[in-house]
Amino acid sequence: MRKYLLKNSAFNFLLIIAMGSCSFPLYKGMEPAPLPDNAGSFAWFRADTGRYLFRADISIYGNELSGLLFIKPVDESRRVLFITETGIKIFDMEFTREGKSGVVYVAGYMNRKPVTKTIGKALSPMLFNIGPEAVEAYKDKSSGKTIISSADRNGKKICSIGDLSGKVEELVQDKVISPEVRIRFYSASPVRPDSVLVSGLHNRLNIHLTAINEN
Amino acid sequence: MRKFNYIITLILVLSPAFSLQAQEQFRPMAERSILLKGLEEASAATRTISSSFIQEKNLEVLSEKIISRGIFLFSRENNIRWEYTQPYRYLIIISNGRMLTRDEKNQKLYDIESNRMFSEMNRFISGCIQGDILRNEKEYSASYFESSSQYLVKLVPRNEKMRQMLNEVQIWFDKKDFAVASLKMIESGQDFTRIDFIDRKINAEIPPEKFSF
Repeated sequence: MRKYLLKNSAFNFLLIIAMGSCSFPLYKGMEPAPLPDNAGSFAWFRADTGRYLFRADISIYGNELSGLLFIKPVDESRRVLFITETGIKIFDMEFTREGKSGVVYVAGYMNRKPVTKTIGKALSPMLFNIGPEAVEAYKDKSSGKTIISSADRNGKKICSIGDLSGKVEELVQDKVISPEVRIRFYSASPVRPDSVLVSGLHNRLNIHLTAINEN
Repeated sequence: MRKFNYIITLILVLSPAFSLQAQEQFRPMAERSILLKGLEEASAATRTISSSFIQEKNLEVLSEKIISRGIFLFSRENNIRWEYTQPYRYLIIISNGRMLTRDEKNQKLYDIESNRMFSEMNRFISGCIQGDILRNEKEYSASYFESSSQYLVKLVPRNEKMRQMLNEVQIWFDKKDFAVASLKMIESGQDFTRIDFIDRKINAEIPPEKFSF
């Protein structure tokens, strides 16, 4: 029994050390700053904006899919549809600000909980960059960039705000028991991201979105 | 404002294509053998099909449409080329049991037979284009309609799993040449994809390179 306890405490000690060493890179060199009044406007895909259409390459559990990703803010939620070029619907999901995701439709061969859960975890922070809980601001001492920290049910979200666009540039979501999600937004204007890269989740999923100019 | 302009542009661009069918009055067909015989003869005489197409993806719940345009080519046996030109360039070639997809950055080659989804998709597309799908009574129940210029066939998959994905397929055939004028795939939840084939040319010369990888 004593041997077991010793073994167990050694394991716990190692776990604490490991967790402590897994700090977010975005936290390094940060100092607390007052939360800007316009912090909400840093986020992409806000409720008061229109719909978005992206060319999408999605790699999930080794399967590669390409098509169109359609994002529409509907009241306080976001609806996301992924269809192939030929119009076949692959998935239709709904996301809430709290980090919940629900499946409206998913094609039979992808209709597995780990798959839809992984998609949900990847897209949720992309659609809701900030909040709803523990919203705090920091300043990166070296670059002077504003950093917004917040949380939802999927863990803590750390956003780096771009100087030119005034929008989220990089986002990392992490939770001790969940793999990390990294999202990078590229854009020349604050209207919509020109390109979005979603990675992480132990390499189970990678998403590359490119905005489609419909004009 | 951008969205408004987009919708107005779509209405202006698509109205000639859709107005014809909007005016058509379809009634149940008394004698379907005329269509089946016509399709058989037309299919036997058709070596190639080249056509422009407009694809409309209608997302009913969101009241949104996504419009794609491009060029469709078909050559016997089972060589298909979908070349999307709008809203972005994307190419699909199906030939000799393989499928190639290509965009501005990537090119991928799939073995159709090793992938059940692609295999079914290929069978379905070529079945629709050549009218073979109408003879597949085992998998689809069909109802037949006609107007003064077109035949309309509505196909409902018999398999429940298939119906979860595809509620109904509607195919419009031109009475003049029995060629497919339009194709509508209605999904569960009433979202649908409609493809209108315009400026169709039957048996025009198509260079074999169009179907090569």
